[in-house]
Amino acid sequence: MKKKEALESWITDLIENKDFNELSTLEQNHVLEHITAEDYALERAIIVESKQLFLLADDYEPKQWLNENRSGGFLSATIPLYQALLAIAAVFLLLYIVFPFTRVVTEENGSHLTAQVDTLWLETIRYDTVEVVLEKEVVKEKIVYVSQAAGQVGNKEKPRLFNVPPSNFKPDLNAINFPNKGFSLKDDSMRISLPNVN
Amino acid sequence: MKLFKTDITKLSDEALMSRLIKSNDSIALAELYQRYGKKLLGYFINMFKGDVALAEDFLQDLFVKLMDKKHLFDTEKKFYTWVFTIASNMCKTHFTKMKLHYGEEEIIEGSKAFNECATNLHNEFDKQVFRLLLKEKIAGLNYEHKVVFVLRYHQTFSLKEIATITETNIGTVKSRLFYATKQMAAELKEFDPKLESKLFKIN
Repeated sequence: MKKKEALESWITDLIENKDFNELSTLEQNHVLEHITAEDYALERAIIVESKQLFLLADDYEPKQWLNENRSGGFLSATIPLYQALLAIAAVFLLLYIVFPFTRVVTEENGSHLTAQVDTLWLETIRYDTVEVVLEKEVVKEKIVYVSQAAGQVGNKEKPRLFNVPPSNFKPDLNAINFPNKGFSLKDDSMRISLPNVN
Repeated sequence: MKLFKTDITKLSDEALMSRLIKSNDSIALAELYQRYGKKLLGYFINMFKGDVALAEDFLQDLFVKLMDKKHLFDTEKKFYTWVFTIASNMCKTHFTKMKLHYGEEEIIEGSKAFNECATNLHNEFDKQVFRLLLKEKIAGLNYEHKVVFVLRYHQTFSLKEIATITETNIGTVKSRLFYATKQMAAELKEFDPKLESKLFKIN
């Protein structure tokens, strides 16, 4: 029984791995005692073609219903603890560079003072009256006459006509400029030249 | 709280299962799904004759089961053999139900139709037809032979690992592999083996 199993196993090994032509003469003779060359070739063809057939099934991809969970998305993604700590340290470092600690202290002092003066109660209101005494303005006018001023500097200025007061002198025009008193129109020889005069 | 976050992608499968058992860590479950989702989907597709929708349902059910039965996992053992054991048992249950509901003859009816088709196309068959027929033959294998065949030639598990997954011994695995191949070869006998060199150029 074991001999038969061993023989079957040996033939199967040969069929899986070698063409009939590739067998040694000794192997060929031994195989031919149990199986024909045609059967050997057909069985080998069956195995080789089966492998090719089975490979076609590998073209199919399984549905990704579990892979979706595997990725998890950004919000459900987990990161190691050391990465989280590094991120926090980096944030503090950035804050330190942008807002140095000194400025932070100053702001704290200011806020402390503000807290001390919490509420102011104004109890009395004083109204102060301020009296302002205004002195009356004194206007001093100094009249300087031209003649005097001119005398002071040594120049004698001629009196101007408009500075002479008006006189009551009235010349007699009839006596001086017009010796004849004239004549009437009817005596005038030239009246004929006037229209509508008779 | 841990000081340094653990890189989940560097943890072993068994360590992830430990986290899952201890704290219901959904991230660990997601990582396991990431690692094994595709392999298990391919396994189910191959076990269910290329039915992708059914395979996806089974994959989802498998991870629900994994959450429910996580306490049964022995962290000293390999996770992938454990998860494939669950997957294989799910397939076994499915095939048993199918047999009860429809009977074995109806399940392999499609294979008969393909045999007729192959006979008609005997003179013009090509690699494509052979693959279609082979697919049907694999689907027509009984559960014990099919699970071993798929685990071996798709998932490339070792014989020992397959024995663990199927809860049998290595001898049984070898024997099932041998007879699964032999059975399919017998059903595909109508193909001219002389064409092997041209059509099935084996690396």
